[in-house]
Amino acid sequence: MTSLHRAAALAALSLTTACATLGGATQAPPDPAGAGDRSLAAQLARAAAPAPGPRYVFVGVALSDDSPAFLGDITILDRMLEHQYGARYRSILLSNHEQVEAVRELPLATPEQLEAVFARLREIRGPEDRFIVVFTSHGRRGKLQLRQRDARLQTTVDAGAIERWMASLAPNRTWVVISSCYSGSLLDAVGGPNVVAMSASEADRMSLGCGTLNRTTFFVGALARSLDAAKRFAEVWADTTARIERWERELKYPGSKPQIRYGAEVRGLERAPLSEF
Amino acid sequence: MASEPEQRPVRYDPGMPALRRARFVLTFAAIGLAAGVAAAPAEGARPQVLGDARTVALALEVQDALIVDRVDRAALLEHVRRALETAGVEVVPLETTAEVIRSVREAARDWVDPATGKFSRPRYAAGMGEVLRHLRERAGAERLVVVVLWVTEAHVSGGVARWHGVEEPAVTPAARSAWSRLRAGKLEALSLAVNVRGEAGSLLYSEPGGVRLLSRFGRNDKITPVLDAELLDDPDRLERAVRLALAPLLGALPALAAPAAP
Repeated sequence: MTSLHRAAALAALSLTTACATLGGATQAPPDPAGAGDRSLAAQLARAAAPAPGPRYVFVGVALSDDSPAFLGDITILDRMLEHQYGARYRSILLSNHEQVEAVRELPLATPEQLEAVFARLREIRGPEDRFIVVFTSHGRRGKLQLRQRDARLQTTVDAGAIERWMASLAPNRTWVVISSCYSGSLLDAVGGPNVVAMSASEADRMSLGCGTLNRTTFFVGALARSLDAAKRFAEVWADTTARIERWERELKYPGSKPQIRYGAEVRGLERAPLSEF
Repeated sequence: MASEPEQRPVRYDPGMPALRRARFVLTFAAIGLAAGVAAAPAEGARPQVLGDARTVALALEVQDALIVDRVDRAALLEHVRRALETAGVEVVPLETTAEVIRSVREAARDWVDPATGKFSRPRYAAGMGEVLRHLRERAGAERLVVVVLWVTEAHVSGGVARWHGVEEPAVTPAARSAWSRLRAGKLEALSLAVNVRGEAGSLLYSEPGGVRLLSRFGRNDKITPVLDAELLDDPDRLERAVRLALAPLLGALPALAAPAAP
């Protein structure tokens, strides 16, 4: 190598180093288990702790890093449900969001960790415990996107996996929310006699609100604005769908047509206040 | 960080286009409170806008673009209530105010003009006057204090966002680097304003205080929103915003007592 080549190589190396230093450049791969109080181990330990009466266990799963709305969905519901159910409330949040904090706290929603969570819930549940499960992501018919770029995760969660996870909670009373495009196509998988299932759209429709600037998806955003412990399920649902219709009309979108199904053992729940779920 | 002259709080203009466009949802927290007047300040210190008023009603409006949990709403109103009571002003029980506003609002069809189908500022002002009239009869309220939460813009220079008397880093922790100091532009931010209304709903006072950024610059220049769950989760930020919004009305407030245990 000539001295000219060496000088050029050195200059290129210096420039690369300088850019990396200034730019903060590469993100270290995240620890899948999370950190501190919000690590998976800490959340599962809290979920297992006894409560004064039946526990209300919220499982929030943000499967994709493609929009902050997915993390926004599970965190706003977590905050509202915690205030609603008080000392009986437990939550387990898993999220594949793009890291914005200095240290990633929430565990990743990997297929292995999701299997572990539902297996553990099956072990620790009491007969009267209630579950509220939210899956939020992009979707296709019968599938949800599972993606986290820093962790090199790029796959899908199919109806079979979701069916297995929901079956592990049966026969406890369970409220499932799926917020994604085509999420109505997953309702058969999550249904059961003790399940109330909500989807953001019909099986062949898209739903809105999963852009890079959305703080929640349209469906969960509307649901969160309607949540009130004193309201009946039917009222919450009517408020939620009316709000979505209004937003979609303003955008001239033909309609996502959110869906709800009540299992055979929970018919009548639509007339009960949320506090009695 | 580039040094800039400290930005003075900008007077909140209730007629600003962003607010005109916004549809507001009136919401009211129902929290118990101990009535009574705390140590009254010297008479000369009383702001003219309150006149001889010893009793006010307090309410909260949240722009529909925001999701604010009921407990967080209650905490915000509690901050304002304590500030007012510390300054010697009695506050009508919040439940009473909420009930009156609910009934007036229903009668006024959410302040929507039936001819245009849109939010009407004159209808809203007239409605607030009606609310105050009812509250005067029921609870002796002489002014209506409305706390408004709304989305505004922060100006960014030197990597720092500044708006309504506060400043925050404009870049997320995970994306901070030497380049952060070169950041400039605009970001969405959350502010609160305190509006005082009198006879016939006339606006007597309006002042903003910045609460927090609603978005920040993330990796690869992406704008990353702050999530709704985090909007009002920091009591220090809330207290700072309340102080900024009330300072011209009540003067410098002493340290606020911790909220009473429920």
